[in-house]
Amino acid sequence: MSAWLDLLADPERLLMFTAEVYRAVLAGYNRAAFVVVAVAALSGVALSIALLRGCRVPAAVVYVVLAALWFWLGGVFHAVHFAQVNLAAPWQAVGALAQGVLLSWFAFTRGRRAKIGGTVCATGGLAWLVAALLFGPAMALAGTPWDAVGYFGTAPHTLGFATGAVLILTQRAPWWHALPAGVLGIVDAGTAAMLGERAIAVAWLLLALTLASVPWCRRRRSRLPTAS
Amino acid sequence: MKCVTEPHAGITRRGLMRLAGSAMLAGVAPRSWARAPALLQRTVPSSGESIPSLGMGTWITFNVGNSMPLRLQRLDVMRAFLELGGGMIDSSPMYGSAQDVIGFCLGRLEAPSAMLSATKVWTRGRDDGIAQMERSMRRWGVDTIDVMQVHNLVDWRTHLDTLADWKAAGRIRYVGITTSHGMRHDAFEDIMRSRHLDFVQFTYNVLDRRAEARLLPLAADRGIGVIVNRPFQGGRLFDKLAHRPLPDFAGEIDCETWAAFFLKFVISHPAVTCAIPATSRVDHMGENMRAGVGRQPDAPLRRRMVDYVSTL
Ligand SMILES: NC(=O)c1ccc[n+]([C@@H]2O[C@H](COP(=O)([O-])OP(=O)(O)OC[C@H]3O[C@@H](n4cnc5c(N)ncnc54)[C@H](OP(=O)(O)O)[C@@H]3O)[C@@H](O)[C@H]2O)c1
Repeated sequence: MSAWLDLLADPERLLMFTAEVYRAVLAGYNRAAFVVVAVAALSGVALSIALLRGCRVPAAVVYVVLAALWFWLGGVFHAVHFAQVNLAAPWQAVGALAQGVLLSWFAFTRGRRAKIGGTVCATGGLAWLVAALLFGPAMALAGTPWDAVGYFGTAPHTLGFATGAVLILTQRAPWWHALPAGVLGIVDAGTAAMLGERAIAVAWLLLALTLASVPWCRRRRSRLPTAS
Repeated sequence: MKCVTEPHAGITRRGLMRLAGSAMLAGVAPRSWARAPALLQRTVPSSGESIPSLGMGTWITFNVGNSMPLRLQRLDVMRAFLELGGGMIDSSPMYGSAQDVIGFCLGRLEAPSAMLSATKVWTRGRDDGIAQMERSMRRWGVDTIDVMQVHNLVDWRTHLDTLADWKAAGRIRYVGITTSHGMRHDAFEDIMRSRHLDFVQFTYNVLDRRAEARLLPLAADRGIGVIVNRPFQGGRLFDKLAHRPLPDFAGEIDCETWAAFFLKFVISHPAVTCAIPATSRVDHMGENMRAGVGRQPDAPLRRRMVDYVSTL
């Protein structure tokens, strides 16, 4: 324990790897896991299309897929790849696995009757879903190598954005079920900021603002006069 | 002005600078730095062994995971280090994959006899400490470690007992303790007074001179070798000063770069055995190693170095 406190005592030493190394880890992971990366991206495209066409998707299905992605992120990205260069990665893996458990729990309990889509903030949720899909390609177009960006649902930030989007889109969303994702989001945003990956840090901040505005959005909508 | 000079071997200093300079221009490591002049050597007080005054650290810089392109690039850095006469390679289980990457590099290089392996134990408990040190040896790909240090004094009582046994059994050659950033100097001093140590490692550089008050004199007094970490203040010295001109007197100590200026300040302290600057770049390694050749500052010149830096 005191060894860990030693690390935390010095903010300079919080990050033990450089942006170059982080990108190399991401590249190795993307290459090794390209099938999962592709399947996850397809699931994101399918969900976006369904919601854009006005369908209401059973929440249980979406939450099971999300939970599987969190299990994958914890068990493979954090525990196998990121752990090569980051001593804190095993802890992040535990957080991701806990997130997977909570989402599965919701999927098999309250989520069985819930639907995704048609919420008061549906536009915001959809925008974040599309952002989660396009974030990686956009970073690549902006100059990051194609193999060194995070793709939909398989990197810490893109899975965080997708989870945020789904929460916004869920009727009676299970907010506290997403607590681990919130903590991991803060860690990921901080890491990105320290590595100089500003786009990721700013996107996390915007997502936090969007999520914070959901209650306000609901209250405002409930005050609007209803058509007679 | 009195200067401490170092032994020369074959080629002139200017020749080395040209060699390193051309490598930098080409952006690649030269195939061989083998004819470089011998680096300033220092004596390990407890054994009388002569070791190079410049080593290298591996915190962050060698933590590159399994990425083959980055590992090969670090291999070039280590090759330059060894060919330029570098001595100690310092690492720790705290540095992520750095020890694996060192093992990867050493497995592809012919390590000269001047090389000293230095790592640390960074955990609690006797059995966990032993397991961690054995793991470190496997990661380096070696049977013995030259310098084994207790990292940041973590469970130092337990580990110093184990290290004494290991030294007696020939599994390590030297025992040390480390700290950095000026932390826990009081406890550090107590251990230096009460236990038998071959080396201590702490932070010392032209801006952070807290060790001058007690640790450096005490080490000299008790015959303990000094390894200096963070000689560039983790790179901050460059951010703060590298855009400023070198002082006029830099030529008197054969300094052409700020890197040499910073390192010469450290290794010219009479109590210092070696400094362990870290770098991920071959050109920086070339610059850093040049601090170990040519004239070194004496006490009055060291004062001028401090004065100059404090005016900037
Ligand atoms: N408690 C402990 O035991 C402890 C604590 C701290 C450090 N240490 C040891 O001491 C070693 C050295 O300390 P450190 O790594 O923290 O800091 P440092 O050696 O003072 O500075 C390293 C930084 O300086 C830069 N640099 C190196 N040569 C340069 C040059 N010629 N021109 C411009 N920039 C240059 C490097 O960047 P580039 O990669 O771009 O060159 C790197 O960012 C560590 O690696 C570690 O082995 C031990």
